[in-house]
Amino acid sequence: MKKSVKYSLALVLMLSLAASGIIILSPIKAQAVTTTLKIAQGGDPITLDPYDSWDSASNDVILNIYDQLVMYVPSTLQFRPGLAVGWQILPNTTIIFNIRRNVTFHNGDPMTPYDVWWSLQRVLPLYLRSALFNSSYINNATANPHHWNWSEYDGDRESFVWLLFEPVKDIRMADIGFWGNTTFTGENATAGDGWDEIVVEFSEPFAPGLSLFSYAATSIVNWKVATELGPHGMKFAPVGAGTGPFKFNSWILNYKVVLDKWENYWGQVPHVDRVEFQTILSASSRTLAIKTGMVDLLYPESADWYDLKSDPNIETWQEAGLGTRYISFQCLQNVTGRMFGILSNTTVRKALSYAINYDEIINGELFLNGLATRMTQPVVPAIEWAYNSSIKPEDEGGILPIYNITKANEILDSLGIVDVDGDGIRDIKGWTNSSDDFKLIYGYNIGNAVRERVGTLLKDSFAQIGVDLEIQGDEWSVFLYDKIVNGAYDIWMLGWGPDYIDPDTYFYPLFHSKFIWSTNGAGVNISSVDTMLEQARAETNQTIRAQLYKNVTNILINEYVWAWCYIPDNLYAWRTTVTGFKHSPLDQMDDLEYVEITPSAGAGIPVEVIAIIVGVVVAVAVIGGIAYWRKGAPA
Amino acid sequence: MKGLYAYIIRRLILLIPVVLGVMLLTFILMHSIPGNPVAYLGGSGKLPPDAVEKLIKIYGLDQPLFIQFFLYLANVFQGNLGTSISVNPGANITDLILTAFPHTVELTIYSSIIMVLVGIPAGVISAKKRNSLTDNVTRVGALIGVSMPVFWLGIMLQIVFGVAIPIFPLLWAGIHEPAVKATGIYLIDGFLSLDFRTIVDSIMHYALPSIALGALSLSIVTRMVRSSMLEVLGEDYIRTARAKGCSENATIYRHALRNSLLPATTVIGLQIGGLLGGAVLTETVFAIPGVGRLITDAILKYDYPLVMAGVLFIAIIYIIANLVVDVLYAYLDPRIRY
Repeated sequence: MKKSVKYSLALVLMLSLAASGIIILSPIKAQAVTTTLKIAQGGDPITLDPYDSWDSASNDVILNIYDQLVMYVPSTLQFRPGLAVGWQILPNTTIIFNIRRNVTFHNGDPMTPYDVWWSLQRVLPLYLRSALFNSSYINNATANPHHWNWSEYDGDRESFVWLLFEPVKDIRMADIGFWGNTTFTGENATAGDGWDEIVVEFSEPFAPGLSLFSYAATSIVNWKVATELGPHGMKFAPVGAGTGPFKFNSWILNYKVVLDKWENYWGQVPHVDRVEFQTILSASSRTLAIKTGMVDLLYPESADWYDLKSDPNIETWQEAGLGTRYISFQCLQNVTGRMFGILSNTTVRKALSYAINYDEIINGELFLNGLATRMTQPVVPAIEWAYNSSIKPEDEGGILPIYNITKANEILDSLGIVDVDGDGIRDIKGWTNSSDDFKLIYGYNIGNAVRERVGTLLKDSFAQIGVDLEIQGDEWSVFLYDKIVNGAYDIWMLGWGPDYIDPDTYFYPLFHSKFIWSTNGAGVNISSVDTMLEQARAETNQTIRAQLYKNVTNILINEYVWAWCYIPDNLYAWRTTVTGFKHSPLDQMDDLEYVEITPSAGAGIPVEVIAIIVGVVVAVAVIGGIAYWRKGAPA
Repeated sequence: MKGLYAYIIRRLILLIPVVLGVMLLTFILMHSIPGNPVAYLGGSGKLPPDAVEKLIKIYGLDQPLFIQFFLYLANVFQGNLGTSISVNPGANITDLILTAFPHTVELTIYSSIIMVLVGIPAGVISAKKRNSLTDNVTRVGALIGVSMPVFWLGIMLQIVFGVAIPIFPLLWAGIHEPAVKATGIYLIDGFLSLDFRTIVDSIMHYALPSIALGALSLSIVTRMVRSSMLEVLGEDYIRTARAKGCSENATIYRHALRNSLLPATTVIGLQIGGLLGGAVLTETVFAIPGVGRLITDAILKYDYPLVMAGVLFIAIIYIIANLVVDVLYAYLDPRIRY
């Protein structure tokens, strides 16, 4: 064969391969007729049945499929009407919700007060549920064949969050006349013909009660659908069960959950047509995925935070979250045989508070690397009305201790705790029953790298004030349920997350003396604190409550019961193609109906170019191979 | 041939004690790890202790270990692998594995193609041109391939071909799903329904993971083919072939290659068996919902029944792959008889 013929054949082959490549690949480009918001999650949801849900991956999906009676104004912690258009909080421990009219479920069923009642009773403790179902009130009022088999529905399983609903005494439908009608039609009642109030009674005054009805677990589900689908169906494919802005499309286990826009949503109709929650286990893959635009939104990894922040195609949001991290002192006088009791002295605790390098913990690369905010008081800034923003660290003109070794030394010296025997460690004879050296034990849970490193940091700075620190790591359950509650550590680091969105959760379990030996590990035992916390819990006037919490805060700060350490920040990252994302202080991806997305301008190499490159490479390989074969191998 | 059938049946019967042993071992190992699935679900104190206790009862985790084991065995022999506890609570495990498996199979298909199509020629050429530059490059390449951690190679491929030069999709996620899912293996489904988009998307999405995964097997196969080829090239019959004037290519490909492929078959067969068992790291890095990732997830979350079922599944696949290799031997080498 002549060379020119060979070359032209080769050229034809290359071109035809490239052309076929373009033809084959071109449908890939011609996609994107709908707008899809893709969200990367680190794990699969556990369930899509609200009453059973407690993990964040499940809650994020559930909050978009279902609505709750009470919801939040986007990006804030202020309540707004959800499926309840309004509510009254009566002083005698009762909340009355007025149910929204003209709301339809995703299958077209109208939402009725019975749906609300049915959904709410599911989260209650078992004994209360059976009482509700057996009450003559329900049995007489409705001839509902589903009543008797309620326990068959989910066996004897209780909701994972039932404990929070223990203060609830009764939930019932009522016709108080908000809409002005009186005909009771039971489960067939449609919102509008009366009986569209839900009355919730608490067994004791419980001011935070309202926030319970904003939980994902208290989402309102279509009871007919739920009964038909059964527990398995509700868990994996709740079609038509919710009223939320997005309806369930599909869930491919360990891959993705797909939700479609619900056109008849009673609130803001979503801008995007579809939301996909993709499960991407590997953290580095998630980061690469958002950098290349494969996903639009995620909770960033703290390790990749600064990388994402510097990316021009990505927007980030950082804000103090709802959890707190503190270093607690054992304040009780005599806990066990080995306790010094020296930390029961407020001034000693004050001195130690000055020997903690808060700045290093918050900004140090080995610690939070700038992804946290200094904690100043028990409650977090997101709960604005109870937060006292005038409390600041000393370097910002406030009163909170900052890292100041000199001051810590001065305070200890002034107490007369000095190094007598010259071994570099202060001696505390007379303060203790067991030892001469000022020696403390710091506890942390094994596996928590930050807490372990904080131990090392403390050991180092405590050495500078003549205090010897022994670091002791324990397994989580031993750490929490054995060591802390039995006073085996002098100081330890621990976190707290709110059970409900109310200051009560940041005070009552942690500082009321009734919880000493459990959640009040520090052993705070101040009667005025107890009184005020009980008052605040029963009070319905928010101004009075706020004042009570601020008073308690002042006492606790002046008592130095904790070293107020930091609040981990909520982190969000999204592509610049996404607009209208509402970053919830609750660290959840609610309110996706406000998100708009503009298709990106096809970054990367065009498909045609790839096709040509592939075509050329294949052609060269084929021709080369043939030529090589014909020529025979060189010896 | 009669001997062969008897042999196969004998081997299949041998499966039973092996499977029992695997199950017992896995069971003991899983239960000796501190922690349990319910504690995982209730981790960080989010589940009330009461709920934890109830779940432990529901799943029978309060029973003595040997009773748990025999209950499990009884269920398995009735074809009931149980339901997942903590990975996808309540999901049927057979379903979970059967949904995940096609993705692993597809990954294996691509990796095996790379392994065979690149590994064997590379080994042959390397042996043919012993001690040349080509040989040295191949050998060093194979050494690198064997020593490179899969997850590292995966991330590097992602960064180079997914981010810097965005030719291939970064992750498996986002793959075009075929309209008709007959087999669950998208490549085959695409061909069955003549859906070119699915075929191309499958090739594009599996390119990086199969290269990352294939690199190791590829290197092993190359080294194996090279050494057995060198051995065969020294045999008398090769000298005879050359002496009778056979062309070099015919000598190499017709006489030498066939004989040198015998040991390579073993390696390839076992590699494929191993790949089918799930490429944990590759599947994790590229977010492929395959068997390997499912089982890792199960181990991390103490999902006892899922781990047991997964290990059982892998063990059976591995044993069958072994059996197939042995049978192939008889076919490839007429001297071998069972």
